[in-house]
Amino acid sequence: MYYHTQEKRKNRLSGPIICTKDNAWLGEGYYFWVSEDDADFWGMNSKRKTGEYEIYSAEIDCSNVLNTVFDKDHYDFWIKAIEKAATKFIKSTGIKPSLKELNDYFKENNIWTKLDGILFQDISKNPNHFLVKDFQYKKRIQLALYNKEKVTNFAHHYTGNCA
Amino acid sequence: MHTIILGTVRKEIDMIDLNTLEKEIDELLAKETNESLSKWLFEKRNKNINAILGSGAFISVSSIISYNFTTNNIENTGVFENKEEDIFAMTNQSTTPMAA
Repeated sequence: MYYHTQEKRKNRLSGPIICTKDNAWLGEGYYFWVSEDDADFWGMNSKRKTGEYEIYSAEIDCSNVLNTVFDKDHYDFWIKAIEKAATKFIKSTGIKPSLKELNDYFKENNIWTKLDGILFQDISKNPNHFLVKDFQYKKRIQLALYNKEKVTNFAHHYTGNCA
Repeated sequence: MHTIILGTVRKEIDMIDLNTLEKEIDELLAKETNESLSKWLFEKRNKNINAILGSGAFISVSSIISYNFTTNNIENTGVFENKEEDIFAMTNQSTTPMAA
């Protein structure tokens, strides 16, 4: 199960909303959380436009997703791809590209279009997430899905109040 | 492509072909020049500004402002002529409370 967080809208969503913002670090896509805790924390703190947020659950076929979190070959490939492209950008332009720019570059040049999405991790900022003092032992895992056809059983899970 | 045999059913599962993807990335990057990547990055970063400004050439301000312009050339209609008594009247009619 994966979780999609949005601000509460007038009408319930029938499907995920694509993220096109400049801070969509894995490029334009439909963003899902692997952990319900992370989806909830994101809603409370970052989806505050209407004062309430909604969590939707969905099943997603990830057989064609680049799994940089749990698959070493996928992770090694991803690192190589990012670093090759970044090096080329820096040599050619003198400028470091952002991760979003690199992911958009790969999508626009039909590289990432061969994938249904990318599973990636970073670190949670949720202070209540960890039971061990001063050590973040959990991955904060996100799925940037490029192919909406892989989503099934998209349903409203619950509504929460923003912090 | 991996093939799994389930009973009498053969199921083809699409797996990501990392080797092919890597080759495609190498070919893509090999074709890029300093100019093509600079252009791509510039357009990416400035798409919002370009949407506001639109297309077209920039023109010099001096080409549209005359150096003969002076305020003396503006006709005095009396609208903005603040006499001392007018200023006093305006400030004393103000309902905005003064800060203590």
